[in-house]
Amino acid sequence: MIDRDEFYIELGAKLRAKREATGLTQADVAEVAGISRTSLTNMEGGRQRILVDQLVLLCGKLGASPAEVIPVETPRPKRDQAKLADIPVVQSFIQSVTGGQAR
Amino acid sequence: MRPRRPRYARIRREVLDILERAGVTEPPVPVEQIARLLGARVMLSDFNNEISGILVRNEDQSVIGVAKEQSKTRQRFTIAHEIGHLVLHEGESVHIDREFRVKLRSRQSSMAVDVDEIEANAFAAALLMPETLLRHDVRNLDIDFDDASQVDALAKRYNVSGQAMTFRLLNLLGG
Repeated sequence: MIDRDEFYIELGAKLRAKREATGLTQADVAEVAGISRTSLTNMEGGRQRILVDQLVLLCGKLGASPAEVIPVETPRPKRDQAKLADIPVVQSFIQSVTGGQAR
Repeated sequence: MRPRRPRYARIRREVLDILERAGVTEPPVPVEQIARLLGARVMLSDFNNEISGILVRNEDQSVIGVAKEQSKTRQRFTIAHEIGHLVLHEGESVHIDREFRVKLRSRQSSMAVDVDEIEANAFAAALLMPETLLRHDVRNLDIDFDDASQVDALAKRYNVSGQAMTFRLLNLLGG
């Protein structure tokens, strides 16, 4: 499951990074998407959601593809846990206390 | 949805409630007894230094596994940390902790998971070094963090590491 707050924080951070890489100001970029500079500030901070058409316009101005900035689900933490659970001593501990029923 | 920010107020409430139920009035806090009170059995186990602790939830009884090669104070912190997961983070049937390191936030890291660990650490510190007891102990002290003997004496009294006590004092008294 994607955490919605995290999703927009990450999306905003990526947009900001792209904008800073281009050297454009928030006002420059906000204008093409028809939003205020304040809105863009909030979007970059993950505090305001972005409509898809706005995202396309923003990305167009930034010379980026929306796919580059949209966060994808990262299974990393789960994988960490699974990897740890596969360590033989850990695996046998879990089995010994659950009768092999956990997970 | 997992919380994005550590819920310090909730942690404080949970810890106060647990300390009261366990009848803790002076240090050191009996952390294993508290685990039992909350339905968890503590098992020391040899994990080959691979992990420091593990929480396995069972319907009848949960199990907290603690690396026995760790120092006694570290074991107590691990138990308290796992109790934190037990109380604060429902849903996971098995939670494994490799080591308790302060992780710097990176864009790659999953914040939700980091928040869980931050919460469990805050819970452990609050449980092992209860605010009211510690404040009472230091009320007449002028803590000098350069003078290790003061902090060490408190660490000994609470049966925690000097490092854990230093962090706790800085959190409670600093700033």
